[in-house]
Order: sequence, then C-alpha cells, then structure tokens
Amino acid sequence: MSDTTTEHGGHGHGEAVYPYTPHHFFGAKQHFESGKLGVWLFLVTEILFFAGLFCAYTIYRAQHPEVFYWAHFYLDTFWGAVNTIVLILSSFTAAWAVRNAQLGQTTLLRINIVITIACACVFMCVKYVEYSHKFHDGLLPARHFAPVHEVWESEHFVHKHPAAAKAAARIVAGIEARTAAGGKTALDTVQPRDGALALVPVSEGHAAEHGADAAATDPEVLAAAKAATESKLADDVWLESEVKKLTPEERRPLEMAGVIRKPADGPIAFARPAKAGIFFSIYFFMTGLHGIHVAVGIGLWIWMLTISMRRKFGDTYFGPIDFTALYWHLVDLIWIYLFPMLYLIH
Amino acid sequence: MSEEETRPEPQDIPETPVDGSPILSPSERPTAVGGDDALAAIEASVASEPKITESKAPAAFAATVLGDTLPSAVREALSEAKGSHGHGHGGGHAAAHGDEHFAHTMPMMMLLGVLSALIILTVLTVAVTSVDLGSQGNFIVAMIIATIKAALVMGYFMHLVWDSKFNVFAFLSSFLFVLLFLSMALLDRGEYQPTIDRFEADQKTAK
Repeated sequence: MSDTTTEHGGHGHGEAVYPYTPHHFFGAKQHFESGKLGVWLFLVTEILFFAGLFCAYTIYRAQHPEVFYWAHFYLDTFWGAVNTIVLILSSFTAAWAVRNAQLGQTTLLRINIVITIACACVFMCVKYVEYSHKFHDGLLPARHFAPVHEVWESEHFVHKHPAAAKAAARIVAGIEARTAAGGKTALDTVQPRDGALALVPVSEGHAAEHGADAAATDPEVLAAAKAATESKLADDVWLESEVKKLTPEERRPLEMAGVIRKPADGPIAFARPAKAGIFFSIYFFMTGLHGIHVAVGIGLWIWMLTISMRRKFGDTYFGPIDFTALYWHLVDLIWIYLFPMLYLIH
Repeated sequence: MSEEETRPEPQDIPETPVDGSPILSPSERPTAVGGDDALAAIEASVASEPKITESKAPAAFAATVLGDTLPSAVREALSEAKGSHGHGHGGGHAAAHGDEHFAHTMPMMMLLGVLSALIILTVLTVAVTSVDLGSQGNFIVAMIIATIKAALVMGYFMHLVWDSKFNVFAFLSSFLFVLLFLSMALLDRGEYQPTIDRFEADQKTAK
C-alpha cells in the first residue's frame, strides 16, 4: 500500500486500497464499523428473542419449584457439562480465528475455523444422544409427554434417595392393590373436589399389569392390601396414614419433588406433580432453539471457510470472521445460562 | 474528496494525534505513546510476531500496570496506536491514512487466560451443586457464576471492552429490557391462578 494512493484518496483509489470495501463506504474502517453495528443490533434482537423463553422458565419455576426438583432427576448433568466445555472451547477457537484473520495468518485461521465447526458438531452429537434418551423415556413436550419411568423409579432418584424410592414403590404398590381390589381404574379415583383420594396414576395404561406384578412378587404388599381393616379405610385416610409412617428421610425428597402433595396445597395426593410435562416443553424449546442456532452457526462457519479460501484477510478486512465469531459467542453466552438453569437444578 | 476530511467524528479524535506521534512532543500524550510500545511489547513477548521489533521495558511496565485503570477512550487510542505499530508503518504515513488501522488484536495470553477462567468456573459451578445452600442458594450461586462467565465472554471474546461506547450501550440495553420484561411478568404471575383453577374444575365436572 503506497502513500501516493492515500494522498489522492477518492473512490477510484479506494477500490485499489480496500478491494473488499464497496464504493459507498469512505474506507475499510467505516465499512467494518457499519457492519459491526448491524451485527450488534442483530444480537440485541436475538437476546430479546430468547428472553421470551427465559420469561416462561422464570415464571414456571417461581410458580412450581417442585416440578423443577422433580425434573432434575431426569436430566444428565454430565452431558450438560461436557457440552458447556465443548462450546467454551469453540468460542475460544472462534476468538482466536478473529486474531488470525486480523494478522493475516491464513492457515491458522482455517485450522481454527475447522476446530470450531468440529466442536459445534460434537455439541450437536451430544444433544442427539440426550434427546434420543428423552424420547425413549417418553419425556416429550406438551401432550406427547408420557414418561415411561416415574421419578421414584428413575436412576438418579434411586441412586440419590434409595430409602425414599423404596417407600414410594411400597405406597404405589398399595395404591395399585387397592385399585385392583376396588375394581376401579386408578384414574377414576381422582376426585379432588369431593375430598376423595387423588390417586393420580403412576403410568396410566400400565397400572393394571404393574399392580399384578407387584402383588405377585411381593406377598407382603398383597397381604397388607387385603387386610380387612385397611381396605375399609377411605382412600385418603389410608394414604395419609401411609405418608405419616414415612421417615423424614423417605418423605422429604418425595415432598420436594411434589410427589406427595403437602396438606396445605389441597387434598393429599401421591402422584407425579400436576403439569410436570410443561417442564419438558420449556426444556425442548429452550435447548431446541439454541440447537437451531448452533446448526446455523455451523453453516456460517462453513461459509467463512470458503471465504477464507477465496479472499485474503488482514488488519483492514476481517469483518466476516469477526461478525460470525460475535454470533458464535452469543450462542455460547446463551448456553452459559441454559446450563445452570436446566442441568444444575438442586 | 480525501479520506481524512470525512473523518472528524468525535470518537476518532484521540487517534489522530496518536497516529501522528512523531510530530507531537511526547509530553502531549505520554500515556498513549508509552502504552503503544507496551502493548507492542506484550504482543511481541506473547506471540513473537516478527514485525514487532521495538519495546521499551519501563514504558511497557507502566502501561501494563496502568492498563486496566485507564479510561476506555485512552485505551481505544492505545489500541489504535498499537494497530499502526503492529503493521510496521513508520509513523509519518499512518496519520495520512489512519483509516486502515482499526483492528484490535487480542493478545494470545489473554485469550488463553479467559478460556481457562471459563473452564475453571464451569467446573466450580458443577462442584457447587453438591453443597446444599438452601432452597434458592444454589440457584443464586449458579446464576452469579454464569454471569461472571457471561461477562468474560462479552468483555474479552466479544471484545466489548475495546468496542465503541455505542455498541456496548446497544448490546447492554437489551439486558435492561429483558430485566424489565422478567420483572413485570413476575409481578403478576399469580394473578390468573384462580381463573386457571376454575377452568380446570369446570373441565373435570364436564367429564
């Protein structure tokens, strides 16, 4: 770049000095800064876009903390943490790629873009594994929600609160035995307005076979259910007496997860918390929208890779890499919040 | 129409004298000139870019110490000055077309430092879940850690620390609106519960 060019300035020379800057800009700096402002404004709309889902999450968590405690037994912190690290690494390589573009280090730039894409693909693969587990367990959004395992049967719950899981299994067996004896389906007993027992079913549909299994395998439960005195009790009185027998260690996790409804919140019940499925609607929308952003990001990085083959980046032309990196950091930024919100519920 | 005629925007004012530093006496912009070399020195020690040759140790030390306390306008000026040096232009011409030096290159050490801080904080936030800090305590701690991580990403990876004030303002204002959105929505979150309860009761009776 000779100084004669700059002394003359003007459009004709401007093109020669900055081959990638269109006519209507005064120079590379203005070109870059207008682009950058546009990207920042786009990122603002992205933040507001996600804010709707963050709002849904906040309100639902404030209204139903027990559902979140209930749901956390179904989520895998390990894979969430792996994905967090993977995204942070890709953010780092993206920031490094910007540096490479500014310094004109073409080979390093391409390597860093490829690593970023690779990290994004790893992220998507982990998401695929997580999602297929959820689908397999019937943890689907909205009306498709039909968990195969109730929370006290879930691996994490049994591992963390073995006593509570055993107690829950005992009570459920009792409920099923009573239902079988009464000849009614579990669903029919849900009449909270009349003050009757809200025996909201544990895996509808499987209730009958489940009950039969439990009765066949556990003679103690069978005997207890058939005991004349017990079967004469009203359902809610029986359930209350069962719940009172629980030790605090058995009772507390079940209460926190909303499985045992506290007396203050209405008639006693032993069931999956009401509207628990909404958690998974929120979960899939938040992680899904984020996942779409990651997929778009992969596309953008591939585009950047092709640009890096055709053009020479340097300290006056690195906008495309910088802007893609900004978008990528925003995707990372959102995941930084999603991780503790969805995977680190305690 | 030459390029410098179009350039006297307010935010660009500090950089013109810096870029033309040989014309000015050093006393006029001592920090800027010192910092210029300092950043170049850091750059050189970190990445050992062949084109950076100058370094003045005392000035480098002063600017490193002062670096974080300087107002961002001065820091911007520093980064501008660094850009011109990093490219190996000999002072005089830089002023004529300062336009071409606007790249703020992040030192490699800083990128690596932010990366390790983010990974340490991630490990920390997972570790904290095994400690019971009360019903909301764990969530608050997790969100504080997330906010520190977000600040690191925004400040350094997205180099907002060195970006123009207007971009910083535009981006941060979105968080203000999110806050407004959340707090207003939370204020009346219980407002419709009776309606929902009544609706659900009706649904059950209808069955």
